[in-house]
Amino acid sequence: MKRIFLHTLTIRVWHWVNAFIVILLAITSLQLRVPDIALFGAYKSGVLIHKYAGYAMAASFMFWLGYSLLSGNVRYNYVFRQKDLAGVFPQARFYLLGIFKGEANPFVPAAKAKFNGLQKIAYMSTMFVFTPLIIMTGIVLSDIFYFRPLIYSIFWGPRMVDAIHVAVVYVFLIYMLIHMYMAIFLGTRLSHVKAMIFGYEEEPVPENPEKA
Amino acid sequence: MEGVHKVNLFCNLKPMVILPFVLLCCFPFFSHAAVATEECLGCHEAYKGSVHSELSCTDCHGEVTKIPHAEKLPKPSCSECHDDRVKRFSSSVHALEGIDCKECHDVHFLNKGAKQRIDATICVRCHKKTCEAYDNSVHAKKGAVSCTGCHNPHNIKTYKELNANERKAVCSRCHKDYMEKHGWLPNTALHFTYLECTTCHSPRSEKSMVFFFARRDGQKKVPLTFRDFTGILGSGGKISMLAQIERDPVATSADIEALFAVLRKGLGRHLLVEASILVTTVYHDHSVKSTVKKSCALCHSGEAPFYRSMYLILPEQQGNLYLPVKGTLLSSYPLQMVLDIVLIGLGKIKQADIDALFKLGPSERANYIKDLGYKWIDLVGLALLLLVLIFVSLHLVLGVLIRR
Repeated sequence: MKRIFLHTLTIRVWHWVNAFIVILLAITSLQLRVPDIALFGAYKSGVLIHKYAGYAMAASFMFWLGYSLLSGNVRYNYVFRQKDLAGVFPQARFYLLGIFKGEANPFVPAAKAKFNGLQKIAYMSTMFVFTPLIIMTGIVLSDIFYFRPLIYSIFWGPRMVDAIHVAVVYVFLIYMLIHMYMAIFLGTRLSHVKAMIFGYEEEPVPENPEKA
Repeated sequence: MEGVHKVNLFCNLKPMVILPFVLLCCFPFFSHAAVATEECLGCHEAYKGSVHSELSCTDCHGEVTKIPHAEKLPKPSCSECHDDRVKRFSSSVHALEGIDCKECHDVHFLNKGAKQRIDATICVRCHKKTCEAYDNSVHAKKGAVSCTGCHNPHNIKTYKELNANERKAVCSRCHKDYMEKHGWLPNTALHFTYLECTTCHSPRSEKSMVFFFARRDGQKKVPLTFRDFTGILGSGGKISMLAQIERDPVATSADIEALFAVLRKGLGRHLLVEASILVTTVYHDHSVKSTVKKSCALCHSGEAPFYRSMYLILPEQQGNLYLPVKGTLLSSYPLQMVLDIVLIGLGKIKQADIDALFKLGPSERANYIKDLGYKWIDLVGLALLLLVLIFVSLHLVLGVLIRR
């Protein structure tokens, strides 16, 4: 086993704070969508928690964006390059077949290259498309009187804002489901989760075929 | 000489000047010549105390020229003195129902003190049920208002002709601080754009979601009038000119869409469909306060009572036509039609929707699929989530089994 440093303290703290906000938003969104489910008591409480957790999410995202742009996180880990494309199909094959055959993961992460091609596609679309869309539509919905001119000039009315918000949230939930499954079950003894807590990931050292 | 001079004076006056002078002097004798009021009061003494006693009897009954007069006298015209009021009254629902002044005002016994204001004993003659309900209300018990305190019988419209703002205006004459009192309601002003007071404060009344065509005028939304409709559609008489509506007086989303398309040709992008939650069958107790639940889910849920009673309002030459609306609505309409209407809970897919998709016949299913509209977001989203969940579970189980 070798230990690879993957996540800085800032990213680790941000990740868990953000995870807490996302879970809060997901639970309250259930009450907003299905008002009969009163998880937070009165519907109004659910609405208010969702609203302020949404603002917190916006702040959290802005922090991540600023930090990632300045620290090189975007440059190293998010920008999709030619070699990432080449790794997409072997990576997909590994998750669908190789993992069951006991093959080694074709991608080995490093501090300045944390994500494989598939991860880059997932994280990039989530952080640069879906999350900003959810945040923008969410902020507009938080006060539709104040944002009225914007709603009509950019979003084709409140119904469309609502539709975009909900549709993208479904995509985000699918991402969350896969993200949590892979983080918890596809590492070696919760190695991915531990890496997000302690910063270091324990990677099994591939056996050297020449020595074997 | 003096006498000659006088004669000369009269001879010099022209007949054109003399005639009007003579007529003017004789007018009182002609006009009241036949019967004096004192003579009338000989038989009709009871009329003496009336507010109209300042007039002479023949001011109204000019045709009475001798006593005894005919048993049935022609109806006097109230508009000669009360012109404004009669004009206003002529477009009220009371006038349209054929009620005239005399039905409510006993002109001969009109008491001077009470003046022209009528009381509930008059209204109850026609509005028995309404008055009974009102008598048991807090408004009545606290002696807050009489019927005319809220309703002006001279320009009254039917309940269904009043929009949400007109209805609120009745209550807010006394309850001026209603916005402050409802500060607990999130987005208070937005809620009051679509609701009226009795939507909540009269639990026994039937609430409906009503739709109407409106025109965007700057920041305002102005409901289309009968003239707007006929101006575009070029048809006189009833608005319900759509043949299928005439045959089957129920509006489907396809009917409304078709009408919208025609109206849009005349009004362009300014046309929109607006909605309100209004009381459509009134139980006249509007003072229920303590039992009003401050629960958002009362309306923001697919189970809200007004979804079971939806109407499209079409203005007619006189009054409004309330056309029952069938099937899933709002969420199924093209975007440009209902840009402004968002009601949380409406776009949510229900078990019944999913069941219907599997149970309906092929042709009905095609219509139903279209009617689902925005509910497709939930349907597709949930289906994808479920598929991913199944895939992930299989992946997990397979991994565990193989590792063993």
